[in-house]
Amino acid sequence: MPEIAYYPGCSLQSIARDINEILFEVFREFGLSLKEVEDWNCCGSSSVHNINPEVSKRLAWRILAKSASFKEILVICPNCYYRLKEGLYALRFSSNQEEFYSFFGCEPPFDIKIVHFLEFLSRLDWSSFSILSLKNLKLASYYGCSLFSPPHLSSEVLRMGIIEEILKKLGAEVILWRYTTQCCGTYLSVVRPDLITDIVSQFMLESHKKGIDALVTPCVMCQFNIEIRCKIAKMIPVFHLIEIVALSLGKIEKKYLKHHFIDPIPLLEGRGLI
Amino acid sequence: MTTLRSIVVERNIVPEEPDILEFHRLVLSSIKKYGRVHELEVMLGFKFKKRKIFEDILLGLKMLAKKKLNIHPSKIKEIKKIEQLF
Repeated sequence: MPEIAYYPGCSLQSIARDINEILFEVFREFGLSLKEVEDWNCCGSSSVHNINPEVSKRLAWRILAKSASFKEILVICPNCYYRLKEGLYALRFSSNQEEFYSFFGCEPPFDIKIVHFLEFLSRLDWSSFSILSLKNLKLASYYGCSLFSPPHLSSEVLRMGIIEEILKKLGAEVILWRYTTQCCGTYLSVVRPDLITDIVSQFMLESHKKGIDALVTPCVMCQFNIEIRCKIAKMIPVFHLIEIVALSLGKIEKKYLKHHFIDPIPLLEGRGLI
Repeated sequence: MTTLRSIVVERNIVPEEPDILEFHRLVLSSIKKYGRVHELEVMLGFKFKKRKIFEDILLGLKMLAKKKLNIHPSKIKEIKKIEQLF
């Protein structure tokens, strides 16, 4: 089976361990084996980037140095994706090469490509897979705030509408709503849970008004944060996009859904999808 | 924003919400120690320091039950290299 380099990042080894397992399962179905970057470290997103951007850059560089033998690296977390791209950008467009060499003893991998799993999904030929149609599900995308920034790292493929296109290909009914790119406040979730509860509860109220069955996000942190911080009575589950892909490929089992803090099993059983 | 935040840190300015900076520092020290974030240690460290140990305790227990928190940190092999990057 052909191998593809994969950078998981810290959250895929802890709060999103189940999403990581589903990702491996889905890629096996695609005929690809994910190979983790050897001895990978934190990409330097969020906290490091916030208070020490230089260290953040070097942490991303070490991952690039470790991946030098690959042509591309698959990344699932939007924050990790941008930290790695930012690190590569700093190498390509500024005079950082000597600093890179002094730390890692090798030439920077200028030509390596950082691929977000959404880009990968968007170029897939879905007709070659047996798809369970999700026609009974009304889904809305939740991109979160980090997938489309910053502008100098923008990708032609990653754009608004990419999730909706994938959901439609899988047969789901797509509902548009107003909070699709509003920040859910993940990074303040530990420090200011009160503030975050207000934000994500607004999301849920709006979802009810629009008749949405579930939200679908490409970000493991958003998926987790919205589910744990929502405190209103009527809550809908938040899926990671890879769960929805696995569901339509017939690769999701109930045991994979136990990680949710808002149980999605009654919804999926009720629609005859599991 | 990143530049402004860096200035605040460099000049030891006390921000409007110092807890946020303190939380970031705990994450940073976790990465320096292990190469990756050890969420359990960071969360416990923050809640203890702020004397809010009962805030989120149920959530923490649920996360442990769902195996969303690693009891032991995941430490990378080349930890000396990470220290050099700081």
